Amino acid sequence: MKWVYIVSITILVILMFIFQWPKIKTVEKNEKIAFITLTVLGWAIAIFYVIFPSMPSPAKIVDFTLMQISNIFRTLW
Amino acid sequence: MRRAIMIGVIFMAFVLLTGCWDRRETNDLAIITGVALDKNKEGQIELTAEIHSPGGSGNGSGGGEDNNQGGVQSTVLQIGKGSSIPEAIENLNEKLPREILWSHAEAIVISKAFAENGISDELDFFVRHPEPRLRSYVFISDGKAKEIMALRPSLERSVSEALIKLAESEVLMKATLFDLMEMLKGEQGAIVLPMIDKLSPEEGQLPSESIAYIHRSAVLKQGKMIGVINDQISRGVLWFRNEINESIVTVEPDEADEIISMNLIKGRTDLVPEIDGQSLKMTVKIVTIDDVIQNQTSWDLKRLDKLKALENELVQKIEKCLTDTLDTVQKEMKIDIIGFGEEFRRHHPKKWKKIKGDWDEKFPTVQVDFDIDARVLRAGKGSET
Amino acid sequence: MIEKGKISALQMGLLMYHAILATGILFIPATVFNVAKQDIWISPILASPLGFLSVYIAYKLNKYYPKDTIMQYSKHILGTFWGKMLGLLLLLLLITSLSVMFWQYGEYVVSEFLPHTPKSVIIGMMVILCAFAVHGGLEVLGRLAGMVFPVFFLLFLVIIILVLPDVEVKRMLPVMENGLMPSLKGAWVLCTWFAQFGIIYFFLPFLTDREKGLKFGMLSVLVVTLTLVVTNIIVIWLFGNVTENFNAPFMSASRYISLAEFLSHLESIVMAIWIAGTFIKLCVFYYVVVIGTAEWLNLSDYRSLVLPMGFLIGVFAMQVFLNSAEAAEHFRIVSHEIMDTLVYGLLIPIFLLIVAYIRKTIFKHKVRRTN
Repeated sequence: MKWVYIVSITILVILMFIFQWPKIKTVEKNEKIAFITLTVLGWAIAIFYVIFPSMPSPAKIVDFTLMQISNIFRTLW
Repeated sequence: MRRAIMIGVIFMAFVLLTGCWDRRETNDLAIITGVALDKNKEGQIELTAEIHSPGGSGNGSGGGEDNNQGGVQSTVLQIGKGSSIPEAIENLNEKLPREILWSHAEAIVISKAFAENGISDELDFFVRHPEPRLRSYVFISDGKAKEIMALRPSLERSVSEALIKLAESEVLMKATLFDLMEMLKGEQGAIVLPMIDKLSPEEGQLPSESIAYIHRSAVLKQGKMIGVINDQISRGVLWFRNEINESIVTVEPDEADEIISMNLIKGRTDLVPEIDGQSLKMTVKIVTIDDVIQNQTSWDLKRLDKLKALENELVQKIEKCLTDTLDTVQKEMKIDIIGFGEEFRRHHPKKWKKIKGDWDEKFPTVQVDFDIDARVLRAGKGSET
Repeated sequence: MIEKGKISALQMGLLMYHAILATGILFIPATVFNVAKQDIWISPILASPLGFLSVYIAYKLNKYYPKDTIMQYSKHILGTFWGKMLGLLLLLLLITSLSVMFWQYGEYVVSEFLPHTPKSVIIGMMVILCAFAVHGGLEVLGRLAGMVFPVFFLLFLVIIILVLPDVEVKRMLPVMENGLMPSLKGAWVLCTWFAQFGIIYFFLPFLTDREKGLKFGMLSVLVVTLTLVVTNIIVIWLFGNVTENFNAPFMSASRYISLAEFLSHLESIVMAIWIAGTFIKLCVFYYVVVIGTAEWLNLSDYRSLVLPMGFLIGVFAMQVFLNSAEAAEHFRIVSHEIMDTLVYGLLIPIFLLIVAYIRKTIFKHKVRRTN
């Protein structure tokens, strides 16, 4: 079942690429790099979550970190 | 090229916009108009659903207490059993070819046996589910609730509709699901619900052709039914809770042997609580406006002094009704269904916290004063014999 | 300048109004009721100073660096490295915040209206829709807000008026039964929403009439406060103690409406205003995330980032909570313990303002302007 998700995610990313790529002007080199990096990152994370569905999301990591920081402050208080 | 893409997109929209996963067509739905809850001997919940039957074509598809005698029948009954309401519904779903739509279930009848075991846990379903409406009316039935549902009223299309009309006429107690929740959440968890009785069928009538009517009220504490009060007391409770809307008061003045009947136009009750050290006092202020609808006495109500005397009679009558209510509710049943605790909390929040714990003992000791202002506005034309 | 479009101060105010209130109007009454009981209507008043403060600080910072957003002046204030680090932190917080918002939207629509539709479809549709709006730029967003607001407000008033026959004022009594503490605790919960006003620092540089920025920002906070007070009063008048039984009391209130037996089941109206408002809210944060990233990377155009960023956020939103217990835990943390919105909406700007103040006035240090 997982490969269905992986394939559909990949198709989605490719569609996105086809839609957006021609619109970036050729002189904007940084834009191209940023676009490719973000797209690949998004694809990789999506695949990662499909393979490991119980991995924590960034929101939970942020919660955890903030809680730790606030705990440090609370002990200092 | 561009045009081809545009056309492609439009055609895709045709395919994509046809509907979504949650599409529901009316002819795929079983519209539930009323629900009855019973407990059978094995302790299982029996949920009887009254389902609107479209046009009478799907006649008699259900099993259960299905009666086809009374002409064109617009509803069918189906029973689901289970140890909890969701389970009973699932069981019901298995028997129904269509998907259940709850949002029109506006009458919920709970049997006495069920209510005596406690209803608060079961009600949770009706509150949590997004479909049933908070405005649904809740009733307690004296006997089996499904027997009420099996009745075929002659005036309305279905029992639920008849029950809703009964509740809306406001002659006696009515309670919606929301009122019920509010009473459960209230300080005392004391609840009054209308109770449905079945008129025993007249000669030559089929049992199912008798009618359901509201005559008494059921009293529940912490979600469990503990007693019943009759119509006079119920009316008194309505007075206390400022919910009285329809009432006919008949007085029989001492000096005149006959009776005068009055129709209540407006009644307003204000409870004014006072806490004085340890003693609790409640002043019941009532303003009521009535019209005379029948005068059998020889009193000429066009005369001011007679009208005054009549107003006095009215005050005494209402006071009698209220003291009777107090005797039953406060002294005998010792249950605060008349909202005294809530009033003390609202007006004296600080002192209330101290007496809140032993309110059950305190409640019967509350001293009640009456301050009733009754006015008779129109004496009617009538004959002056 | 990365954004070529400009919006008026009024449009900015409307954008912020929706950005705060869209989710608030549904979830605030119940969340605050848990602590404040029948005093929930006091809490917004107590919490509003925080909103005013956020706007004022963003405005002050904008006075120092009128043409820059926070991504640029954090570099001027803290130096390139620390400025970039702060920017990264800010982006991370905003992205997670946005993914939670998308999740909240999806979860609510699924649980209340379309229980059989996969959440990925609902969130995905919204991401695509927002991506189009954000792609259009700030001007498009400003006009959208101008279009949605009258509808939103009118329908809100209609619902309030239709609820009125059923209200009972005495459900509000006793006011301050347990003193001021419960409503103060409620106000603390509300800080999550009011602190979000901080993101106004992304919009102030793009105003046509900058001198009115502060005025409309403040006005926006005021209107949000008033709307919340009215919502809370109506909810408490209508539902009293029962409020805590509902996830979204305002939605239940619309369900409760029944006028003359035919005007009932109005929840679709509330759903419509809620979706319209949420759409603006999501667009605002989406735009902020995209333009923040583009500025952080020193790009000259942000539009190429819209789609990949949307994809990333969609993925995060789908994954953000695995079940409702995790979500409840998150919302408990952000509303009672430590708030991410407070960090990015208030703490970071205050910190920047203090440093900027020290650099500008005490050291008389001429900060070199790069723009």
